[in-house]
Amino acid sequence: MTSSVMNNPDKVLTANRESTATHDAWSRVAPLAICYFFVSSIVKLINSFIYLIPLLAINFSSIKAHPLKALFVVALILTLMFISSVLKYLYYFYMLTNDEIKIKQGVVKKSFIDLPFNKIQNVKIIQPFYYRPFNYACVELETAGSATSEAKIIALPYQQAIKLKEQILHLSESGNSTPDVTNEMAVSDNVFELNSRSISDLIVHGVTNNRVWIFLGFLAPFYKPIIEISERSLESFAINLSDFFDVTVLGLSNVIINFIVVFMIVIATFSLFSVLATIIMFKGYRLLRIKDRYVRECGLFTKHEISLKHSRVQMLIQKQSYLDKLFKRYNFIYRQVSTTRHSNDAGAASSTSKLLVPSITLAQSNALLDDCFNAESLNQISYRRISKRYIFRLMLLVIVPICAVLQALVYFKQPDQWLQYSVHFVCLLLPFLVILRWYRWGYNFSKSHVYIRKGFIGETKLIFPLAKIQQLQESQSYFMKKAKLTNVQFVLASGTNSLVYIPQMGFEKIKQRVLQTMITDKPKWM
Amino acid sequence: MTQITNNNVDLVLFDEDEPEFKSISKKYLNIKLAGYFIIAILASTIFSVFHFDLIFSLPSEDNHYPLWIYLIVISLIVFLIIYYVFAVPRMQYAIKEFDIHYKYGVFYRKTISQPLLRVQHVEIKQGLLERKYQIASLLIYSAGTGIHTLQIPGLEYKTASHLRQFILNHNDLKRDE
Repeated sequence: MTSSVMNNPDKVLTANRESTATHDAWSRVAPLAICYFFVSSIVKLINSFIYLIPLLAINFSSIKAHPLKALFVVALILTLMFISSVLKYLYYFYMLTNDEIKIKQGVVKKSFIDLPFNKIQNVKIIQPFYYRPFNYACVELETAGSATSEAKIIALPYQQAIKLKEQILHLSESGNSTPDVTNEMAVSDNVFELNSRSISDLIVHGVTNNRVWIFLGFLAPFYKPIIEISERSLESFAINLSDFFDVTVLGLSNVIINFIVVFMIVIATFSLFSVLATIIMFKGYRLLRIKDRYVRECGLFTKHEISLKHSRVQMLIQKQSYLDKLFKRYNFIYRQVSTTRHSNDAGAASSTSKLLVPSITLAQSNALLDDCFNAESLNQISYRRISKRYIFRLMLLVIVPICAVLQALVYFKQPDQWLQYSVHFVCLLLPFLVILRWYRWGYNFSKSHVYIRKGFIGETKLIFPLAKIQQLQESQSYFMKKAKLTNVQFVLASGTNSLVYIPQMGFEKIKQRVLQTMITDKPKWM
Repeated sequence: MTQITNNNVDLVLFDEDEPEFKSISKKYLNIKLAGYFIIAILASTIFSVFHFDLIFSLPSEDNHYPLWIYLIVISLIVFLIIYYVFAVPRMQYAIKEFDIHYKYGVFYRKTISQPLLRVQHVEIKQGLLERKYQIASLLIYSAGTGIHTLQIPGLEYKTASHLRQFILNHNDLKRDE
């Protein structure tokens, strides 16, 4: 059987296609799909759990009193979800023809998806952990159009999924309906591994990209009530927290030390969770380049494989937060047009609008830049600063009013000492941040690309080709016109990038270049 | 005698005009004024109903809320009217062979330049009042986004229609992207 596949590859594939075509019937996926529906319902339940928590809190005492009843309710919910999963499986049909995929699904609300292969831009292969022992996968198809933007074949044998992906991608690449068979040999000729992330890289990423830092910052006004709540809960363990912070007994230096220790314990705990989450998302991370496509594989339990066509890359972003600076690492992002409407955060393994390469070194970043865009490296080019007037405007229009309001509140409301000090600290910090922001904001233009640098303490650099620009916007106030400065926005399909207070002449030149390029070269935006 | 020429060749002869901006229709201001006037009348009637306890009466003892809300609404409307009186004459558009430009704004003058190559499709939108005055808005959708990226309001319906046809028939749009 295998030898005949090697010798007559076209025949096997056409035979498969013919068999589904002659059946001309809708096929069901493997019963394993019930697992898929069940797990998705559980995930949805957990997501809405946030809203159920108050309900549980109110009824907690009655739950404790009747454990059996509570268990019964839980069992009932799970059974209902199981039944609905079975129903969803029974009502899910698909049909693969030569050049399109049709999906018919839905128990109550039926939906029909008709997706021609040549419209498909992205193929994602996702292997949830419960599919892996059986070698099955879920295939997600995305288009750039707005009509049917997404289709999911929820369970296919892994090998068939791979073949389907190759078939679709070949079709959209060459417009040719007879795909080359990709056996192991042919693939490796064109495969080039661009990057891979080891566990230590992922640990660094988990530590430096902890969203918790921001979260802790927002919690600042609430430290006191939080401390009170934790005090009360620790009392049940016979630990009196205020003893640790009693200045009269311990002395100021000891209290400060205790505070730092507690703080670090908290941070370490959160970092641990963040590292675990990163490893779960990105274990075994590999970034490959296959001909004109970028392919990224990663995942500990659920394996994600995403394909991104090179021509779809709109922008490259190199980010370095202040924590990344400590480790001398950068986060590299391939930004493309987002095809689906649901929100994807940059770290999500299944997101395609932002392909993240986590915590790489400068040399690796330069290599990726070089591979993608034929342009001067982001890191070697010199960036022109925006005008100092930006500081002036931001201070006058934003910072001074905010500080005035804050100071007035402090004066009239007379809150606790620590809150007063925080307000004063913030009022001192804001101008400093403004100056820092101005310092970081820079730009440059080349014949074919735009370079922008921005940030506060960390630094973000981005590059995009002139050809990807959809629209140019500029805005000037009366004063800016006199100073011959302008605010500018580059509108791309993936988002808008702006520059403020740059010389008008400079922008005029780049605008001319962009508009002329559109006329003479007529570059494709995808 | 065979004639042989060996002249200089202009490789790219780029002959370009500065964009010629035309104002949108003055009727747009009338539409805006009429619209705000209607809202003002509506607000006044609601206010008088509550303030003078005509049909409904407020349960609370504090009878100043309607007055404050009404004053805020009226001052907002007055501000918007004054704004549009200055803004509408400054709304201008320019159509060139390969791009379309739109200038607007009072405090911050904004210019949008949209190459026609990147336009996906064009729509014409008319509100109720606009239909009466035969004014329309042109909505231009550029590639890759679901919402319109450029809106030129206050065009005569004929102008909007011609612009739409010009863009749709444009060669650049026929390119397979």
